[in-house]
Amino acid sequence: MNNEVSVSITTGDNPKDAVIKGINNLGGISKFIEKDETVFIKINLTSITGFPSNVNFNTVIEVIKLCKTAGAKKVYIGSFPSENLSIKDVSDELGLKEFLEYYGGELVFLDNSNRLKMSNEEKLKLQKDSFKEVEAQDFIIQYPKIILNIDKFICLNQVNVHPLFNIHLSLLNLFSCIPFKFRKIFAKENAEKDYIITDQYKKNLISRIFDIYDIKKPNLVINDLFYFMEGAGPFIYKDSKINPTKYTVCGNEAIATDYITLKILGINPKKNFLISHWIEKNIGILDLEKINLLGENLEDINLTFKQCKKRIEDIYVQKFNIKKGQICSGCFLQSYYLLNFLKTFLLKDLNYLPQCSYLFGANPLEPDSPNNIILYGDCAIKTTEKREFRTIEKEGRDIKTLFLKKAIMEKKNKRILEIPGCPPNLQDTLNRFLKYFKKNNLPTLNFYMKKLNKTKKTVDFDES
Amino acid sequence: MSLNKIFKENWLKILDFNAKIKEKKDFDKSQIKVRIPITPLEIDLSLLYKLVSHIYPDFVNDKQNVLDIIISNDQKKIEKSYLHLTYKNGNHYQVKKIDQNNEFLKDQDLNNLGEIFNKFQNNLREKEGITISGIRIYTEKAIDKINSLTSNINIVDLKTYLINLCHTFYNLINKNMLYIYPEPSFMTFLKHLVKFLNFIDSSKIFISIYELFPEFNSGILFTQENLHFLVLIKKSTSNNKKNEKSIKDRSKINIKLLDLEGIDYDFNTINQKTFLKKLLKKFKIKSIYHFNFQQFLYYLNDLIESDIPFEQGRFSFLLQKLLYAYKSYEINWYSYPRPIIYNFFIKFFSRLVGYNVNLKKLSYWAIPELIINVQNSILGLLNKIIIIITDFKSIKIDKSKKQESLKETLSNAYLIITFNGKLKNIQLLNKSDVISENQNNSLKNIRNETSSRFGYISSVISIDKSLIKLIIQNFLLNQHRFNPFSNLITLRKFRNPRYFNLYPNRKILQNLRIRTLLPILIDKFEF
Repeated sequence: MNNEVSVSITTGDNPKDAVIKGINNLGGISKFIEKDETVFIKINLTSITGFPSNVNFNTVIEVIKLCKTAGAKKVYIGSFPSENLSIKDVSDELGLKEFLEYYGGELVFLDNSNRLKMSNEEKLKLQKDSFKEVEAQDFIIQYPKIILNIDKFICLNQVNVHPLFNIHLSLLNLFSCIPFKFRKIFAKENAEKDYIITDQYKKNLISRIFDIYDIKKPNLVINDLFYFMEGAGPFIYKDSKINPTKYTVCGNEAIATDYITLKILGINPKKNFLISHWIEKNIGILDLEKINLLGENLEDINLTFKQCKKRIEDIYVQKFNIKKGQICSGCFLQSYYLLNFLKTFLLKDLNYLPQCSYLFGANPLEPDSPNNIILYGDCAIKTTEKREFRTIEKEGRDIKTLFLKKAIMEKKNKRILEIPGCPPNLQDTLNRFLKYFKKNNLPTLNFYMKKLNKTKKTVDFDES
Repeated sequence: MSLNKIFKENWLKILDFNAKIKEKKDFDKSQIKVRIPITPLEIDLSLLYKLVSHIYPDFVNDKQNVLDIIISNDQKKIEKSYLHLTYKNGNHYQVKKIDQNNEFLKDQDLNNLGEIFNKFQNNLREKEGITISGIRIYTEKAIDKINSLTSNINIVDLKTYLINLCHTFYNLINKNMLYIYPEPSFMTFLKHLVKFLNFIDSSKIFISIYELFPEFNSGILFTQENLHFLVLIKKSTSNNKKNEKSIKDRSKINIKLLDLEGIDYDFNTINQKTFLKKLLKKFKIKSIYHFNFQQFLYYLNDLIESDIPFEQGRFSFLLQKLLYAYKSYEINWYSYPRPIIYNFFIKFFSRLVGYNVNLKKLSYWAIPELIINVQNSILGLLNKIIIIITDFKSIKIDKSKKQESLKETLSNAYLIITFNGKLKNIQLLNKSDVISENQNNSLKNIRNETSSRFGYISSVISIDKSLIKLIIQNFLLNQHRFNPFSNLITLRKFRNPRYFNLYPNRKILQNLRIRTLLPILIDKFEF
């Protein structure tokens, strides 16, 4: 195979045509897959919602068919979903296992969530058999053996907007080759003082993304932006929409494919956190400006789209006064999803709630009132421990006068909802909301949580 | 080429009556019956006059005089033209045959009618000294279609007529046989609707909807200042089994429109309940509903002014209005017998056992948002689903073989496409598109097979006609009956795959609990 880095930009009447053209421009599928080889297609499988949070299955079917025509012995398809979801949950909800089987593929339950009824020893054995421990910097990551041992690795990425990285690139898609718990970035107990100022969270996250990318690089990368999601982003469909750009970008190298994808979308790749990090660390290895471009002329493409909101304060949630402190990307990302969830799904519940002050980040601004203060994240909790609103003054009988006289006394303010975590987990946050504001004030949230909490029971298999 | 005798006679009677009104400036109280033009529905002339006065200016045109032009099928020659003199309220009172110059049509695009209209307008102003407010252009084929629709209008039953009407209308729109300028909003709405339904013959849609309705015998009273009329609607099954094969073929529908001015009730002084009760007894109907006609027209106007397919915001607005009207019982609408859900003791006891079903607090503002959010989250922004309507009563089969029997029981199948949260298209599928001769026709197989033909199908839903009928009967038509067991049985049928089945199974829709849902549907406070 020629070592030249090639990227093809194609368009078509439908995603299927665009992807076929793209692969043909790169030399055809037989250039990537040889007879009797095994193939793993890494897709977006984030949640139980519909497209475009997950991959476009029309494109998946087409890629499976192409692999089969090239003589692939076995075509596996898989990914790890978001937190608190197992692959079985997503597969059952979308009917994926049977669907992919029908088209000649096999959905891989990377988390073994399809095999629940077994003893703990069996579970541990299965886990050892399924994952290989890989050291990445100072962290041990469990990487699925099936991907490591595969002959050919294809990354099929649905391109959407992303609140932190602007665009959901194939590098982010590849990041979900590992279980969510290994994707989570934790601040060390004795984190450096400038953890927030230097946005160490994001730095660690980017490093982790590249660590995963380095473990197994894909042979073929398909960035499917035929239907590109713009606006608020995945899970927040109310404020998002599909922009049918009709473009697909295929390449034999992930960084180069992402680089061209950003250019198509009118974003300077060097300003993208992921690409700029890569350029910083890998000068001279791949000259991104010398990519062999095939298909449509890049200069002729002029796409515009609506990006995610960059400031949490710009997300308007009824009854929520947002008081920001110094934040890192972790709290930004989780707050983004939380506030958008509240404003999208809990329209009715927000009418029942009292005015709240939502404090997040280190040293947040003062709340408007001492009532109903939400302290989101460890930083907000720790840095406000000695604030005035933590205590309230109340008139009562003074113990010093043996309860004979009244006096103004200081009491702990109980109208505070603390949500710990660095950053906090969304499902845990919503459960705390339910407990604090009571179920009868949050009927819609109660309805959703009854369903969401049920899925959690099937999740923790790989943590056993 | 002209309209048939039956139509003409009826039309001339209407013109004659309307012309007399112009002279007398008052209604003729004699109850002369005519048919509503191109329908078999009989109506008092005075009521027809009043209805046109209320509906025409808002929905068609609020200016005088219209020109009707019949053109050749190749759309190059004017065959005939008639000038209809109308009042401002839209009632036609005179028709004149006039000659028009063929040159006006030469090299004209009938999709751009503005220019043609101006030519006719100028010509009429010069020759007749009359200004027209619009033109209606019919091809000869359109007249043929209207003639064949109305030729046996005296003897045809209403159901057959309505099927023919839908079919004729579909042809007029689909085959460009009728042009109106300025195009009334209802015409634009219907054109878009036909396109949205992927040019499914509207008679097929009518039959599908008609079959879903159980038998009923109801009246709807519409009132407004100076206008009180009653619409009696009855769907029944004939007992004559000799010539007809199935119950489906024996069912018929009757609609009557009555002007209440002729009936001896003083509507303003009488108590609503007593009044409705009297009408119920007089016309031997099972239930009667009372609506304000103007509000009904406002809603209709909102509906037809909407773009098709509806944007999510528009859908939410229309549903909010509908739910608000529904919750405003005894304010915006009345019925007799009273819906059982508004009975104090029913509300009290249901509250006592933990079910708050006070419909006065129906969450009209939050329900549309909830529907949109659930739809968006489950279906996503680009989605295709297949809905299969089955009819188990049509065949005798083994209860346990639901899946296999889809081949025999499938009545209709629709492919529904949504894009960016709004319905983009509905396609009527052929049986062969859905059912495979060789394979097991489980919903799973249907989903996999159809995905290769129509693109990724996210869900396949099958629902039996009998279940839809039961829902309409128990939750819409029989709201006044206390029948908790029947309602529960109907709801439980959703768990029986024979009546309702969904693939893949959605956890969020499974085991929906009324107790969890009610606090979302009913408000804590009155907003």
